[in-house]
Amino acid sequence: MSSTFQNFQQAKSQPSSYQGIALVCPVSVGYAKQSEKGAAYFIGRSLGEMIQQAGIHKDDVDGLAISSFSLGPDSVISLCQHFDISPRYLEQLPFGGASGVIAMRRAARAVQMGDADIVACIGGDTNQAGSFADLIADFSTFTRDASYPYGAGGPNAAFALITQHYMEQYGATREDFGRIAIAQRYNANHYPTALLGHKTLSMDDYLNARPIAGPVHMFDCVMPCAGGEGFLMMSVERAKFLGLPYVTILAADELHHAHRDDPIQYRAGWTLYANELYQQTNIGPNDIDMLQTYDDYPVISMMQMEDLGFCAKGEAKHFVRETALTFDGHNLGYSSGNNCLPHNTSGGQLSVGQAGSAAGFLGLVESIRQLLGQAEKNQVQDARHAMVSGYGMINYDRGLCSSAAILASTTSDTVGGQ
Amino acid sequence: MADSKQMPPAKRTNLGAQLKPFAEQGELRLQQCLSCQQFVYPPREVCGHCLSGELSWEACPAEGQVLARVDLHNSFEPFYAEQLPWVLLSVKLDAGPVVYAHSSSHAGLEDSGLEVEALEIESKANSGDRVTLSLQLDEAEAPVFVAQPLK
Repeated sequence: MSSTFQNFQQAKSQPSSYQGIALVCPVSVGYAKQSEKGAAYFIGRSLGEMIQQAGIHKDDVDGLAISSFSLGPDSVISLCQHFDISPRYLEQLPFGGASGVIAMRRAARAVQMGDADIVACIGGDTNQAGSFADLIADFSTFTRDASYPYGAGGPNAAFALITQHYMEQYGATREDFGRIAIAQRYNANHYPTALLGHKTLSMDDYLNARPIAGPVHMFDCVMPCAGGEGFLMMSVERAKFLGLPYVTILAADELHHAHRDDPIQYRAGWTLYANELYQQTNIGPNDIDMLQTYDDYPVISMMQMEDLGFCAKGEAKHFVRETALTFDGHNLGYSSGNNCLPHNTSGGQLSVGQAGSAAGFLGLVESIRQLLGQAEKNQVQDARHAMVSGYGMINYDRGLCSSAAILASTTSDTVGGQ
Repeated sequence: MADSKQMPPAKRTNLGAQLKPFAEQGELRLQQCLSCQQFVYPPREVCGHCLSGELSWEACPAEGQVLARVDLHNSFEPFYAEQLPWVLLSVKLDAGPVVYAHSSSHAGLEDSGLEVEALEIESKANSGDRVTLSLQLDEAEAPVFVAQPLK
């Protein structure tokens, strides 16, 4: 290998700025535990609500970025005929819980480069009886050969092993995971769309829940459901012309199947770009006003708290004991100290439900809503910066995808007329 | 006891099904790369180390260490649902790959024939334990790995 190439390798390029890109019109649509409708309903109604909010016609949307686990045999191109639209930019992102941020990154480039003017980014799913069991029975070739035959526990089994290992390695307890789940339920109690928002969750409820797999119990698991999540991507100029309040992307990145030599997962790709995200934005974890992690299981949220720099590796147990994770800073009696970091402010998928490509858009759409000041009872006060991260695709024994972004409100920009 | 009509999931890929004759013989084999000599798993089309397409099912050293062990209390398959809790082990083989395995403490699965201690419910392997892995046929005549604690 030539030294020239080695030098070239060392100068790993970084993502260009997302300057000039606006995120507008966040929607969360049609949440239901089960539905006889198809995925196209939830995606189509998300699109319908977004263009209504934006005051534009569907033909003004010339790009479509879609994620869904339940759209088959259709794909994003099928939707063009279904919705009778003629986009010039199409993207379908089969990346589960990392899909939202990845869709955002790609759509932003399309808008920056002139490949599209308005891209609708949508994650939508239906949930019909037995459909989740069908999905996990044949999720990938590796699961078919190497994990499903071993007890057929689905993702619960893989995450039970990861959680068990994490607890043994770092001393986290079920109560620590409970602190995350309970704070999220409190947030959901203030977010009407959340499917479990009408129920409270106490530590006793959490600890005494039905066992599912190893340390994983009922309230550590998400509920697959029907629903849609989406937002529109366009230039800042266009958003201003349309009179739409918008959120900007300060930095974003993704990395997949990182740390692949770790025998069992205790970290993911975030560790390899979190610092760059902060460097690019000139802010640090202390400047983040809300954190939306991918919470398919609480242990994964803990990994994100660590890998995104909110605490050191293995220290998330202390972090959740010392930090109020609710949208309003209420510690619920489960955390000490005065620290507060609103976390999964709509309740996360643990309490809202898992729709839209494994809820890959949930935290992103919620972040946009919060930074626009459009959240209602669960509004975080004076929020300027949100960190949202994604994770997904349990191809065998670990989640392969990672993504993260720092978003910013533009309230002061708007007021200042710039 | 499981209902005799209920069977564990027998569906495998074409590659995964190639383990069956070795399971019938009780031989532990994994794919080994003829180019870089690494063992790879789960079954794959090309070597995960050097991308060579020349993979061959070869005898693999059977010893490894349990990364984690959990009891499943929920299963999407009736065969397992009737026998809960079902023990699931994640094993890091000394030869390299990470393998999910049944515990040899489960009825219907045989010990490897190697010298092992008498197994009771309490002696199921836990994380950090050394185990030996065997390849067997399950009740659906499908190939599965079974881990047994080393003496």
